[in-house]
Amino acid sequence: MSCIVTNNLRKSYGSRVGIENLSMTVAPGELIGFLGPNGSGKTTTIRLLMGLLKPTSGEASVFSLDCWRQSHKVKMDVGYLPGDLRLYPWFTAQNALKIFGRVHGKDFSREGERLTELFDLDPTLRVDRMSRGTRQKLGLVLALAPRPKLLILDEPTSGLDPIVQYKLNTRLRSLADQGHTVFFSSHTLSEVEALCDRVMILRKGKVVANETIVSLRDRAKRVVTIFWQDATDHKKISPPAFLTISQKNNRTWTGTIEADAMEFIQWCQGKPIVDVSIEQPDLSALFQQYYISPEDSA
Amino acid sequence: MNLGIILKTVREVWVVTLIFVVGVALFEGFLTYLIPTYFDEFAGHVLEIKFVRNIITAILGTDVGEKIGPAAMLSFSWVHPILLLTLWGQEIALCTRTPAGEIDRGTIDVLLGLPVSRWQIYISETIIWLGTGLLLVLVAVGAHLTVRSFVAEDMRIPVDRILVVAINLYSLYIAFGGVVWLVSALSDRRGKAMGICFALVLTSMLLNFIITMWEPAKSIQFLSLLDYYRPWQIFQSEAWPMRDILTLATTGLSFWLAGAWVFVRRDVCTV
Repeated sequence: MSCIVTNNLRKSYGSRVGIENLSMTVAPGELIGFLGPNGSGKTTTIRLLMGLLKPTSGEASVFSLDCWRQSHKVKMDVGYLPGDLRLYPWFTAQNALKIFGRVHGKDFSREGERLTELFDLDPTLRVDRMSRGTRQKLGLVLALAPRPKLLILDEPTSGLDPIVQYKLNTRLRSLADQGHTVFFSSHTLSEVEALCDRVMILRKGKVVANETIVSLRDRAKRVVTIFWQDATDHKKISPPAFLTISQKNNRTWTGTIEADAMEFIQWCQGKPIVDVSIEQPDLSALFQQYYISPEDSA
Repeated sequence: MNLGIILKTVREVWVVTLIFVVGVALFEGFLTYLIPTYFDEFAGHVLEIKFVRNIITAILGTDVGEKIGPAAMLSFSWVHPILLLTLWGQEIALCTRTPAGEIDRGTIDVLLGLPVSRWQIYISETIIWLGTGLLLVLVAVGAHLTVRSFVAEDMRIPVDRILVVAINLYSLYIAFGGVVWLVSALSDRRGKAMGICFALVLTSMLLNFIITMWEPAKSIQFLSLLDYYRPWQIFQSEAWPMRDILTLATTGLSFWLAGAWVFVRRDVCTV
């Protein structure tokens, strides 16, 4: 059974289209990064999944339950962190966990205590005295405390310091390893690259990429630098089709390869080269291609 | 209904409700003592002024003539604009919290992220609304009965009549609250919702005054909620104002259901 399924999901606000014909499937245990520039439809998609918005057309289901009509049943197994998180000013971690526990009909005190310790959160501090990052930590505690089968997090690391970000990422990875599904939106490419199994990229309400990180890496270009033995050697050599040279200096070539590194290394063999450097695949350039629409680049 | 949502709502409204409870108790107790104490002076002179008589007619909903009895005077304490505005003000403060207030302050995403249906949220909030309303009316009755024991016996109104007025007042509370729920369900801004509700309150009161002074306005008299709440007539007769109570309760229920219908079907998120 799939965890999330959307089929030609569309949401429009009058003449403005929020998302257009979004079809996707998320399997249990997946950790999915949902990327896209501002206004691309990430939050709209998340709000449709949470039953806050009614689809204009198409369907969305979570655990085979309709996200609009059976929203409250869906949310029994979903932990949700809204993008623009605003909490009740009188909330503290302690009383919020008590109220959330009552709503769920469960006791979250033990798991809540663990999480407040993990995120170094004072359980008695009121929301109206918290910094933005601390409020975000409380939002995460409340989303994670029920240990839901599915976590839907809208820009969860926003406002968090790098240490808490690292702790959160570790926690999410461990939850995914235990079979929980994590669906989160982000602007931080490196975070998605480090954490996710799969990435979905939205642009202007449409999915422009839906691939595993492994396959994206395979397609991403690597920056390579070739150090020649002397200044004249390389003049007789022409680069292969998979190597695009962007800069030629006296004894060095810098460029990008589209093939895998082994093919490049094989090509280097027998040539008057003293050293080569091959960098990690550059996903950011690839992401930017998806982010920028043809009209924008023109 | 959901216990967690009820707890959250109680946590949010108890201070404001307490202030309204104290306000109602003090005001009702004060008027219950003041009116019989200064009855002779008031009844002797004030009613001779035509303008004042018109105002009293508007407030009581009927022309009491040139002589006013203790029952008519004491019914003032149940229709005084301050008492009604206190009750309606409490309703406006409470019923515009969800969804208008939650959307306005951005907490609606957290609330609707919980595993409760919108119906459950609406009903849980409704329980608090009805509960606090009942509390306010009972406090008014309690204050009246407590202070009543300090006034002359011939100036007292029978307890059973006071209870009938209290039931009629509670039905008025329900009728107006239903309207507030609908306005809140249609709004994304709490300030706007409150403004509309206060405008409705003032219109209803104004209509009551206009009716006494301008004959053609009587054709729309039925639109004023206060037309169905007349304590003086209840004190004068031994009958139950069933028609008025049922009209108010049905009005409240209809608007409340319309509010639920809107809330359950509309897109709701932080804007």
